[in-house]
Amino acid sequence: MVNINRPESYWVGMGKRLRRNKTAMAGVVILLVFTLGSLLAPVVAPHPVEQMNFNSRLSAPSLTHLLGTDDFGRDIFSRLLHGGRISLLMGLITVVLSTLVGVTLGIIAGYYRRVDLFIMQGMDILMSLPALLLAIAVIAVLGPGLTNAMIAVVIAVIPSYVRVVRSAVLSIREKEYIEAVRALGIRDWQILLKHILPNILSPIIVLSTIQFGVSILAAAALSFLGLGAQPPMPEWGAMVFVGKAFLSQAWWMSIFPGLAIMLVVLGFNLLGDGLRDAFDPKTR
Amino acid sequence: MKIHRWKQGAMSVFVAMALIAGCSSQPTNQVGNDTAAKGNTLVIASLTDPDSLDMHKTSWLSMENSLIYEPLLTRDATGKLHPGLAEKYEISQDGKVWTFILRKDVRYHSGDPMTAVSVKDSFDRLLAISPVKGLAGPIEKVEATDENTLKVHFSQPFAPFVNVIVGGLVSPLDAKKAKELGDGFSNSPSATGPIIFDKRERGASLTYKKNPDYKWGPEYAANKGPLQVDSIMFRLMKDDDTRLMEFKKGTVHVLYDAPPNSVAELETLPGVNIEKVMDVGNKYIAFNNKHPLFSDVRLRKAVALSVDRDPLVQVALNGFGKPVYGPLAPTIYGYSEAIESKAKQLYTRDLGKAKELLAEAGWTDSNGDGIVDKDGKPLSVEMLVSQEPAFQRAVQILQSQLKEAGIDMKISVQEMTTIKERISKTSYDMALMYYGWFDADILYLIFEKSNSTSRTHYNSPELDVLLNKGRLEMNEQARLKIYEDAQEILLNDLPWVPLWVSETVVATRGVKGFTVNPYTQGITLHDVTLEK
Amino acid sequence: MRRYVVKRILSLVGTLLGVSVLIFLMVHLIPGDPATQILGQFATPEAISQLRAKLGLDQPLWQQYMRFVGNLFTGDLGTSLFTGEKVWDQIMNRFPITMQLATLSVIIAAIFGILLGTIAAVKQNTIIDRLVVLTSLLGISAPGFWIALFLIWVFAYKLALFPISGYEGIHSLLLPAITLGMAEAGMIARMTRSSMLEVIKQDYMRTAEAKGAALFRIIVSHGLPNAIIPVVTMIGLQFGSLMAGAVVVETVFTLQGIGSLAIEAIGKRDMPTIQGMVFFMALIFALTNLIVDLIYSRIDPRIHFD
Repeated sequence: MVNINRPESYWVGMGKRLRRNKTAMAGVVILLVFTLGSLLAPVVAPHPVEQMNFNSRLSAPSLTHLLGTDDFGRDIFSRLLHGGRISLLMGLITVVLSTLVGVTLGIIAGYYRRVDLFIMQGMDILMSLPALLLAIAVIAVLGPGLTNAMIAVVIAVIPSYVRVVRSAVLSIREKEYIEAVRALGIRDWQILLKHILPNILSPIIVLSTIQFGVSILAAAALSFLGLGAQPPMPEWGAMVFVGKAFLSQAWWMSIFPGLAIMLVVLGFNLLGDGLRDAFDPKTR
Repeated sequence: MKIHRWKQGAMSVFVAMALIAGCSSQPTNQVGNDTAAKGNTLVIASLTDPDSLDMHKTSWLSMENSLIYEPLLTRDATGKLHPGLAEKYEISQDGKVWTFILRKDVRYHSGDPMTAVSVKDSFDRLLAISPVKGLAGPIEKVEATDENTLKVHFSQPFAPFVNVIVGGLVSPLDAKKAKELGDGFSNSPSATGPIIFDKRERGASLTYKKNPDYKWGPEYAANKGPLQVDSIMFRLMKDDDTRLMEFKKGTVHVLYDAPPNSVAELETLPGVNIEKVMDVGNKYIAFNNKHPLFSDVRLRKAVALSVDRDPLVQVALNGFGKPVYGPLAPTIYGYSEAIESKAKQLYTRDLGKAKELLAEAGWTDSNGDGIVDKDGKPLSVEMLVSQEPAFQRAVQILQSQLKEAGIDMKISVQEMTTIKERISKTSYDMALMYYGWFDADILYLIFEKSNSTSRTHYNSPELDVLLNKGRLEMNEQARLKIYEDAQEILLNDLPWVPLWVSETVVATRGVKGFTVNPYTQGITLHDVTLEK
Repeated sequence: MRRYVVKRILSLVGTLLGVSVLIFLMVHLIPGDPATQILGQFATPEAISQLRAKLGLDQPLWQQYMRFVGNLFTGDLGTSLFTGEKVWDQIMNRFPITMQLATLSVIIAAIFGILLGTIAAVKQNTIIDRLVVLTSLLGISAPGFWIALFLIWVFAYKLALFPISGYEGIHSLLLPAITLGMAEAGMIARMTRSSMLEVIKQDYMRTAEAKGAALFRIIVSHGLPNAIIPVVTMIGLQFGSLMAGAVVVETVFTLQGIGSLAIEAIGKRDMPTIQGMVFFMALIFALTNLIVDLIYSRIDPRIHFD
């Protein structure tokens, strides 16, 4: 049997290149800080996340409240730490789900030419609606809420996975070694799992990293429109939405949560760029 | 007349629009040209773009589409009843026939005189086409017995009718014109009011001009003749920032429903006058009384005793409202001070008592997590709430208050339509709701068993008897007593927790005599003058 | 070429038909009965059933769909349940603002993106290059609604240079357009940079440099024309999603464009408006893609069609 899997050294080299890549490492650092911050939120947050204090409503950033307080006198810094759990987890779940569904559909479309047309026509239909509008429409049907927002984001981003995976599969399936394997009478699912999937792993990893950021952004946008997270959840997009009404009195209510979203998404984008370079050293 | 405040949704009796949160601050007018407060035009920043100007067809009456219509009877700023288009009225002994003697000097905007026949035609049109005709009561027929005598026959006595009239539902419109124009009447309405429809730019503005022939102003108005302004313009501005800015620039005279958190700033501006107008309705927690948990009155009372209304009003409403403990707001006919003070005594926050009641019902905090439990299950309930910002703030405060009593309340934000649907299917624990109406008969509309609009699924035969009697009782004192008894039952059974009555903030500048009547929620235009 | 165009248009029609089914089904799955919604809670049952009949809601689903599609072919998108206006008129009332907004933001994004991308490429591996790369990535990473609030806070509140919200002429579109163009500018800068780098590496550029021609002239006469093709494609492809991004931006800046119309319509359950709106957006989206492809074929003769 022909082993067409990439050699071990490919992954090692890739790891080395990634570690040398300053951009990627900057992304990793940002993401580590945010992940640790949200994991340890109950320990490191200076105030209980839902504790209201009507005497210190809308107070500006100070030593007691590093990033100020909101309209209930809740500590924004503590809420941001806890909110990180929601955003990161939400991003993770949507990425895992859309990768699973998207990759499966993409492989099927790329490998089995008979169903390709149907799947791609379906994707074309989904893609001909702007993603955010599609997500809003999905929520209109399902009702607002965090879970439904995640479902909406997954539906909206699946087509881009399918496209990427399908074209990657297409470029590989015609290669001679696949023909050879097929001639040996190996079953389709084995070919897919053992020979095709490993070869399209790198674009999937890069895409997933970038989509992690995109999903967080999209979910935050939905929460900002009041369609995602619900009070008193300290979801960042929802915090910006609430803060909007207080922009002239308490800018810190909306500016800091937005900053947090931007940094996390930046982290994923930096890492994604770095991964792309590391997988494909030519494009530097 | 009724005012539906788009933002506060007080008049749930008419359609309550579902809000999507993002929209709480959406579109605005596109009139770029400075339709400034020039000339003798009263400019009002408006929140609602009415669906129709035909009051028999609109799904909600707001100041924008109701000011051209005048009621047969009206109330002054203290709530006292006065003649309107009817000089006087009489109710037959059996309470089934209401006779109105109409004014003889009234003309419609088309120039036709208002006669008993024309008012009858208006009634008939209402009964034929209005989707909310049920609110007018069990009217059998309407007849004009002479030039200016109108008789309304009911199949059974209907005491709330006087407040239906005051509320403006049955105000006469120009039925002849309506017949001529058909659907076109929506865009060119005619009635008897001091202003006449002039022009409309959908999504931007709505303009009325003064009625030069007007001379039938109400008794309580100093000026009974034509208005002292030439025209009135409603400029549609749904976004708070835009409305505030335009008001500060001086391009609008009246900022109706000013955002509460802007009031402090507005008060510092020279010449700005701030008025607060109380709503005719309450915001309340509606329990699902058929729910396994809330069918137990002890749990309902425990929730009520956990609630501290002051922070709700101070924080969630920025102080623009009043706590309410009893079933009716002070502006509603049938409100009783005795009931309110009793309710306050019974249901002022008392965590100790709340926990006692919970323990009595078997709920104690056995595992020390701060939440009471029973048979190993924690007391966890879901609160449905719409996307209205004040509600969203209030519900978070409620959540923390209930938690102190050991009740874990989950918040579920839903579209109002979804909430109503879930309520009608009894698939809810509790919901933050509101009602608005001018008469204690609202209790009938909310609680009586024959009503499909129940928010609480509470049923008490004893209460139903009283509420039905209240509709039939024509003697005012006897009727008020009936509603006191009815409210007493509601205090004991507590199918809901009344929370607060909102106050609408009206900021004016450069205007004198612009008042809003809390009992009718109507604007009195007669004495409005513009400062030069 | 003609065959390609015909083929593309046919597949476009197919996709749009699919979209119409999708939208129709989604809109009908949205909970809440429009008739009850319009008439309010105290409406009599017969008034509600009358209205349902008038709106055609009592017909079987497939009939309703056939009517919807049939009307689409005659250009009739239906009538709003709430204002009684034609959906098409509503869209046309509001489309100009969204169109202006999108166009302005594309212009801003293209100017800044191409400029920064070119500078970064020329100054490759310098601190300037790094800064541009980081900034463009920040532009892509920042949530639009947050950029909007930040700009409002700085330029409308702190500096009082712009209207806070609402439409008062083209200058009130500047902040929204910057917001909307930010991510776009970032992407264009990255793209310009990398394609410019490719071009710079090529021989004729080296020759030109050797000849001693000013760097600026080389870039303008040789670099830009080559680097611009992928950028133009991307601008075109992104134009549709700009329209969607307008949903958020129009909400924050309270502009009366089609984005805010969509949100309003969904909030009110105005079924015909939602259907018409979403279909309209899909149409615009598909058409821009088609036009971009066709233009692309013109710019780059290497592309062949079968």
